[in-house]
Amino acid sequence: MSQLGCEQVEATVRAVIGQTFKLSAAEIAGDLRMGDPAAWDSMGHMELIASLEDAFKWSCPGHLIADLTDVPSIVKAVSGQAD
Amino acid sequence: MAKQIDSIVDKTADFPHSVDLGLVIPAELVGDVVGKLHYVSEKLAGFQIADSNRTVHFRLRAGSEDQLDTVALRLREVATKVCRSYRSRGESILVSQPGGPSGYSQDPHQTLEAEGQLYRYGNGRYGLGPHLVALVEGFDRQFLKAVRPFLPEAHQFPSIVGGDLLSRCRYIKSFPHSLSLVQHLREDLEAIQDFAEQADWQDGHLKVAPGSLAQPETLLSPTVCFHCYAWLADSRQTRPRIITARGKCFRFESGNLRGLERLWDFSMREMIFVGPKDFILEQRKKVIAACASLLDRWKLAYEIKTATDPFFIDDFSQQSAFQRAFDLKFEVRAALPYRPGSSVAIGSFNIHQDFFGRSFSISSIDGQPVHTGCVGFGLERVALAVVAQHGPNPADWPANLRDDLVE
Repeated sequence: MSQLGCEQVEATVRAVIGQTFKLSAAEIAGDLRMGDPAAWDSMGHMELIASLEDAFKWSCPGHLIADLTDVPSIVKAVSGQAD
Repeated sequence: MAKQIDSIVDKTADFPHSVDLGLVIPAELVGDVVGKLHYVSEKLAGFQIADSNRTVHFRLRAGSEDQLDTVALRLREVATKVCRSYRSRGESILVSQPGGPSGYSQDPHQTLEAEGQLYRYGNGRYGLGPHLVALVEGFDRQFLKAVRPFLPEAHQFPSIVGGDLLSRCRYIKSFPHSLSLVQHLREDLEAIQDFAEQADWQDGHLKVAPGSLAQPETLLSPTVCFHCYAWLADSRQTRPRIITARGKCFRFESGNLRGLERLWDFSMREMIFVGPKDFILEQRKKVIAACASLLDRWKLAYEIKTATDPFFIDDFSQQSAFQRAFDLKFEVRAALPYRPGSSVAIGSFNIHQDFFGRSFSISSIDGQPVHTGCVGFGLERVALAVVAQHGPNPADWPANLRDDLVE
């Protein structure tokens, strides 16, 4: 993880979000946050967490789940910078 | 299949069969797993979780031995699905109140029935006598007094709810196990006459001629607030709303039904908040404080802490993890001294985010879906908490409580 550049991590995060919610390339590049796309709802959020865990071989601590509601917060968490 | 059969070991105790779950149920989830195992099979007569939460011992109804493998597989499936995606987050306890010592520690049900204060009609169906009615009405009155500063709008909703409304709330898919369907006869003279001639009460069931019943359109309402969202559907709310209503609620809880602890048919006082996110969070904080003051006045022992809803098996792990992660649900759990270490949820404080705003197209002034939240108290459970902690005799109840029961 530490060898991945921030941009590469963000690209992977966006790709995972896109796969999870079946988004187009244009949508993946846009502003992504919980509630937008609409499929990123409560069930979708937990599916996304599981997909991120698989993609980054990472285990999301329970206390972080509620914070991962947009791309920057997810990038920070999977990069190990989150508290 | 061989591996699954290997995990079933004949025993000689009350539970002659066992299934190795292939996992350890986290202590935090044991209650959730137990609650769901009752729905595994009609052939399951009883069960017990054992061996440090790794095994379920169980027994089948007489003549059901051919279902042994199926039941064992289902028990394991339920435990696996409930525990999937489990993440320990710890409990968040907002309030912990030890209550006033009363010394009463008996199960009050038997005494209440003997003294004509409680009557059991059937599984999950009870009638209340004067003392319990006084507690139900007294708490409801004091609750309304405590929340008067919120200026709630009083409403009344039906006890029967449309299947379309429940479907829109995602309740039918998330809680299918607890639904109570309402059916009437087909509007067909021949079918009605056939029904009148053939319908009979046999073996604890109403035997009905197939084809005489109409397709179910309605159900008994499992909660109060759903009707409120339907009322506000397709609207733009120009100001925050606070609505209160009391209603009968119905949740079929199978083997979990137990006296006043868990009724099929119960009364609920709800307060519903509709508005921007910050408004909902602020109101929940204020109403928790108001309710805690009331419970303290009645010298009840209770905790207010994080909780999850009893979602059905396939939805459970993700939905409950989400609820916990976002602190969406807090429960008021009152101690039950007759079963040391146990408690009953007498109320809850819930945040729905914008789920109902989106589901019912209710928008705020800025065009965004509104956020909602609700507070609900199960009135019979409140009465149970009082008699369990202070005893069934009103003379033993705290003076404040007795004063509050007088209108």
